[in-house]
Amino acid sequence: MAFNVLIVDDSAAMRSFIGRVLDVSGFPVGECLEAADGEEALALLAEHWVDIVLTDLNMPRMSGEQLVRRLEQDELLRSIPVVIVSTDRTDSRVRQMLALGARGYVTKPFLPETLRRELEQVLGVTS
Amino acid sequence: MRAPDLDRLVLDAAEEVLETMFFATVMGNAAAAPAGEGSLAARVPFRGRRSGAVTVAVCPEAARGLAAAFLALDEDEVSGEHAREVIGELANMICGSILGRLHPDLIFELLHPEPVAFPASPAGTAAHKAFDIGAGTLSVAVELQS
Repeated sequence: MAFNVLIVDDSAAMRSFIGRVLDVSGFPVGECLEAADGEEALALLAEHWVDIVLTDLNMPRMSGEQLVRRLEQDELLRSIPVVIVSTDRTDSRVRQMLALGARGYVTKPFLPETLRRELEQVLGVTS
Repeated sequence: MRAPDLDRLVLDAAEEVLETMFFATVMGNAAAAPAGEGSLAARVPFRGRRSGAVTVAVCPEAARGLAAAFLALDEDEVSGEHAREVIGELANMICGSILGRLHPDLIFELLHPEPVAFPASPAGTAAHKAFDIGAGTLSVAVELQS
């Protein structure tokens, strides 16, 4: 089974990096969508169903925190698991985002296997 | 925190980010920070209970190599825009790594990386380290306000 993934990050370089890391990690990716901020992500989610959202926190227009809050308020979209992928690695921030509804948290920098393990755990799949 | 501890923390953060995401490593200290034509620098301001900024500067050779490694491109395919964006991400990750080690109990907002001109040793600098990363030099300056 392959999973449709939405990568949300204001850096095109980072989106490309994460997509490549998913490939090399062996994680089964179906369709891989990209958005530059939370607003773009919501617009994409209105048109496409994805299995998991990977989002940065600090982005212009709509941050990752705002995106998680918006998804949690939506009856349908709240079922899509969100994994935060951020440079912000303070314990307080991790606890805050998990309490808001994020299902996983990966800090940059990360190894490919770290990202794959987190996604597998969140999605309940075994490699 | 005393200055020597912050210096160590900057080294640990630079090593972690370079080795994990850029297939590069810190070989040792460098005599001087990158400067001059073609060098790139990005500054990541942060705010919260403590505010400040982290500035990362890279010499032209190292900037091309780091961007190529991050983007999986050949060095001759790396544009100036590629290099600027990747150095911004590098600064962002080093900033996050430093803050996570320095104040794991606090929440910070990291602002978007901004390109800056030299010199990269602004007033209020709490640490400024230059490293030999094999392909050239990289420096990290940490500004801390209260």
